Amino acid sequence: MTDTLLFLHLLAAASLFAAIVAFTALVLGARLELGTVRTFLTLWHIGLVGVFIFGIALAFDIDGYDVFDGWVLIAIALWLAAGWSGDKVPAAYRESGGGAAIPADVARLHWIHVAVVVLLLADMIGKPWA
Amino acid sequence: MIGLATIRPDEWDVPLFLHVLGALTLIGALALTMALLVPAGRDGSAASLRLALRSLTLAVLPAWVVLRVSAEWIADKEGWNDVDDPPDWIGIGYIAGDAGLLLIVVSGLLGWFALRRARADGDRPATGVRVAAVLIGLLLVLNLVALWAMTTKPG
Repeated sequence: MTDTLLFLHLLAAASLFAAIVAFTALVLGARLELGTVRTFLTLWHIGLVGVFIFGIALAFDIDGYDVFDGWVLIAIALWLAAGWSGDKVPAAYRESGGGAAIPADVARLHWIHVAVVVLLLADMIGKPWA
Repeated sequence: MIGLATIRPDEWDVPLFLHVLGALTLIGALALTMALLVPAGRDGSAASLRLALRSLTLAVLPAWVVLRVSAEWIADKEGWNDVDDPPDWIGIGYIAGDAGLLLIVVSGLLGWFALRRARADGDRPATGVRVAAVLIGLLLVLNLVALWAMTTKPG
């Protein structure tokens, strides 16, 4: 059961990363079809919900982990930040009809979003205050 | 396995972090490359093909290097390099990793030749691009199988 939950947790994370790679391409100036951007936005939503659900399930499932551990609380805070900042690039791209460059403030927010997700991964591996 | 993860020594953290980061970025970059190669093969779009080749060289290849180097690093830390008969999940990881480089190189060459022909003769990229899309799709599946093997550790 735990192994399956861990696999699903990482599969959701892979879905999230697929979206981040695609949104990074948009920030760097790539022009993708709007349908493709919509697909990656769906992957982003699936990944965001999946990492949370399977992550909390893992915290309940594994002896020695608790949802109130420091690293889990940090992860939840980072997850909320990632959730808030993650869909700004596709929203800006769709608003422009896929033709214009991503505005500088949205691009800046995207790089912060990338840093938040990398920190989230570092928190998962390092587990501070476990 | 999870019990082991809980008591994992701190010095494994950096290689493991890089390994997971490389693996997730590789899967993401493969998904993007595939999403670009499919319209390039279907509609003969040279712009999509050019983007797919950029995604392959600027995202897939660096992610593969991070994944493969950190895999060797963590295997060394965990002592798997000294084991004569390693478990199946290690073998699956090596197959996905090493076959991965071959598939990346072949797909890149197919895409590059198609783009060159499109520039020189004005041909729409077609068969070679479709084969490259299938190879990248295969590599994506291989990496998802490796992700399953790394988390469930069969054998």
